[in-house]
Amino acid sequence: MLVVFLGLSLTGTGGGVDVPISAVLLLLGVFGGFFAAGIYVGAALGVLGLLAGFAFSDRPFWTFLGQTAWSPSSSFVLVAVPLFLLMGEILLRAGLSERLYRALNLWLNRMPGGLLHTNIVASGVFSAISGSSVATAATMGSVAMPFFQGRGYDPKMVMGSLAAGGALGNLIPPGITFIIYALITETSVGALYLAAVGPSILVMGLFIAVILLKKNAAPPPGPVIPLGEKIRGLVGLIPTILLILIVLGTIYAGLATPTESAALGVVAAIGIAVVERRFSFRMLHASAEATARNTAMIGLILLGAYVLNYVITMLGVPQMMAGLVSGLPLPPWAIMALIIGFYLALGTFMEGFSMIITTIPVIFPVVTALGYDPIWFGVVVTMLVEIALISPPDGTVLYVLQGLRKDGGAIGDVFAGVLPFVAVYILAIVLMMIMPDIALWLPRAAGP
Amino acid sequence: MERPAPLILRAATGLRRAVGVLGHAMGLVAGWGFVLCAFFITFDVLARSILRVSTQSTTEITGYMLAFGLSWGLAHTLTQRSHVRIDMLVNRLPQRIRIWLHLLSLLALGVFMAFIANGAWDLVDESLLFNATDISLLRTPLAIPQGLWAAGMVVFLVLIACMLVENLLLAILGDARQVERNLSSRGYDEEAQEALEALGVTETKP
Amino acid sequence: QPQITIQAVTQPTPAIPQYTRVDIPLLRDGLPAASNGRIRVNLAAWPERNLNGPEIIRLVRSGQVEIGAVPLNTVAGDVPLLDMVDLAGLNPTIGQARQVAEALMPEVNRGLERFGVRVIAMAPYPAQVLFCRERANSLADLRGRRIRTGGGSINDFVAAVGGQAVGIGFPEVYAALERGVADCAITGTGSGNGARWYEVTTHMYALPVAWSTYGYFINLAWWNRLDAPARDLITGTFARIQDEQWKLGDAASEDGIACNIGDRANCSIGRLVENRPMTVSRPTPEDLQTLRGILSNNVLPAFVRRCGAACGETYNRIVAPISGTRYEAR
Ligand code: NA
Ligand code: NA
Repeated sequence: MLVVFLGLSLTGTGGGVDVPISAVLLLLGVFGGFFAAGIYVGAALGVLGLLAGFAFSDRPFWTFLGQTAWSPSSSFVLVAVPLFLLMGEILLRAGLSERLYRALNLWLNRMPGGLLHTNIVASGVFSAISGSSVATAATMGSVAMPFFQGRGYDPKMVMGSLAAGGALGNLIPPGITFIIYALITETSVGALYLAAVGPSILVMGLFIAVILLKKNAAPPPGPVIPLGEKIRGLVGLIPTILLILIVLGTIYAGLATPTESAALGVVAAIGIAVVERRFSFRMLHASAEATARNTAMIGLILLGAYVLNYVITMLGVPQMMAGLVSGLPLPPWAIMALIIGFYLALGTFMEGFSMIITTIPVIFPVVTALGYDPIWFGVVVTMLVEIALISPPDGTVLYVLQGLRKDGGAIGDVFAGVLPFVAVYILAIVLMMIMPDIALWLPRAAGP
Repeated sequence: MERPAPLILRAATGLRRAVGVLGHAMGLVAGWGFVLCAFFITFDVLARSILRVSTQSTTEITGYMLAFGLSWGLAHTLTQRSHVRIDMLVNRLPQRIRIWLHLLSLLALGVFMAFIANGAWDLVDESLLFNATDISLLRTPLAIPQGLWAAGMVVFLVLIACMLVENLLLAILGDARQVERNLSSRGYDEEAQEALEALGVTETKP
Repeated sequence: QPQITIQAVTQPTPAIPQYTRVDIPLLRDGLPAASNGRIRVNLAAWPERNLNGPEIIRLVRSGQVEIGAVPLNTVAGDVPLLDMVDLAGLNPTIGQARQVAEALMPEVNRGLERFGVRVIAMAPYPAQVLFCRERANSLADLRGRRIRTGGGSINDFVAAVGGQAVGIGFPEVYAALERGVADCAITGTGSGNGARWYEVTTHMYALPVAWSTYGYFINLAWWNRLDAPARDLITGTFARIQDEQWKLGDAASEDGIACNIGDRANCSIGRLVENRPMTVSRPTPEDLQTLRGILSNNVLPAFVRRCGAACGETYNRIVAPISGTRYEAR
């Protein structure tokens, strides 16, 4: 990817730009150095932002850091994250996640890949209620990870499949990215949701295929379990299904917003723990402590990411790069391929949301002028944001999962584990370029 | 038989412990804040659909709760060595280089947090100058949630500074192993212990 | 003469006509042309700079940008006086909204001086009306409904008609209306059209509750350093922007209604709703009378409680002669 941008910088098409493209590359280099030196991720992002600001900005940007840090700290979009984390901690300590996985295992243990599939499927189900990838990864991660402890699964694939599952959070409707895209581009949220159905199925299918191919990642198939035992095992699913009904049901019945439903989930989880006689003050205290710790862990990274974001958006770097890509004299498909490459590159060091917010206004008119369908592009962009969240080295979902991890492994496992999933996610986008109807048939068939 | 640590080091360690205890307490308050937040929103949702009354401020209040919980948990998380670092490469280096990278990492965190904490206080200051409130029904004076939020940042910054001084002294005095114990990421045994406790394995399996 | 580069952040989304039809041609392109290239303008919409709105006065104040525009209600938490320009029910017509805005400009700038910013122009969005999931023909129909507002004095209005104001972040409103978490939501006729709320609501009650009047704020220290010719050019540009925006606000108010109800002939700015167009109800004279009562009995007293007694006096001195409704202390 760097080669592409080096090439672009030599063509010198970026008129009226204050930051030379070589400086952007230099920043990427410093970024890599920080990571190699083991600097705290939040500090690496933040200090990089400070360096970029002091080097290129003619504004007193540091006087605005308080506001920059306050916005994400108090953002309603992120409120659901600690609440879902708390729900996960309670479920874990009440033994519910254990029972869920045990029940699923009765049915899946003969399938190559075993329980890794449940990571994808369960994340998919959760994504249908949650509009946030980070929340999806956080919840499924805290529910699923303890179960894999010491059962012979390859930690790389465990982490990779959980990250991949998290990256369904925004793609499977509802999703915050669609809503923001629709706001900026004046497209229909409803149509975007419909268009996301086909690609969601495609991506989930590809994920499952990855797990099937990596069959060594799971322990060998267990003995055949009699059907009676399997059916009896379904009882273990009841509390979880109840919880999903509460969280999902209140949203669909119009009783609560997705954020509010996270709170209902916490209270319901406590209720279930009480009924199951697994509730204790100590258990709630430990859940609260773990939630505070994991929230702060994610929070520090978000603070750094927002400072970096503030500085580079203020300098106009994303818009400059977007303008560069879209201004090239190439055939439409090549420009589209470049745009996708541009988002993949930007996604390695920028947070997904601000990535689309800052660049869509520049890119979108180009995309429609090239004759691409705005709804189709909205789905592609959402997929690119999801990829940004799980692509190393700066993928928020990856850090969330690493933070939830109990086996003490290195983050390298997460990076290595997620790569095959990132690859097939990109493959899905290529397939959508060849066959746009993967996204567009449903809104056309079901549209108003 | 170890020699007794020099006075200055003992002072630094004592100070770091004191700030650490404060941070730990703040972390627990933050965690319980999230529990209360969940009950508060649930109450509001139920009241809204059953009694048709609402505080009409859940968006603001929960936003403040997040800011508060996030910042008050920062110091505790550092003491627990749970802030994320990518230490794949670092862990392959010899210890005497590694400890300096630990210190560099802490220094970078300190620099970054110094800017953030300073910005946070400026924000509170500005809110006081404006007498700023939010525009929800409650008209919460912004200086209150922002002040609590900034306090968490400051305690975090102070803890970083104390740890920096303490471990720099240790490094200079040649006690690399202690620096390693203080600053490296959490090890396998600690994490595993916590997971087992969380699962209650020790109770259910005799 | 030295080159001048202006950073300006003006609208909540880059696709709205206030941005594409006025700010871009007049500010971003017009000012450099008028100054023969001496003044350069880097114009962006809020999301392009990752901004949410409430922080914009502080953004201008700290010198991150020279010019920032934001609805006065949104930043009234920082400066309560700003609410006075666009109180709920104060301005039944856009003509009066402009009169009040211009009359209050000097007073507003006196209040803003100590924060290091000033307002150089004020402009409206389309009339702020109700988008509802169910029939809404009159104020009485709003009783018991959950109504999403953007906060400020509109909350007092909603409470006064017996509705329940709910605070939901803008990106969640579409889904909230779709699922019925909110029964109604208040926004501009054209803005609701732009956000496609017609997909999730059926009735528009076209009572102009307010105009979401916004101000173009400028950094005072920067302004005072400018030389006279530059200042004149900028002042002239904003006088034109102000004119154009009020004209657009007027046109877009009716256009938004026409587009949402599928009236092809009168829909030229927004997006025509062809499938399942909305039903519109116009306010009756009785409703306008009730609205006036709500202003004097609920909205004004609540505003003065927030802003202080001096604001009540300012209102009576400057605004009451225009609106015909006085604030009575009680
Ligand atoms: Na989703
Ligand atoms: Na990434």
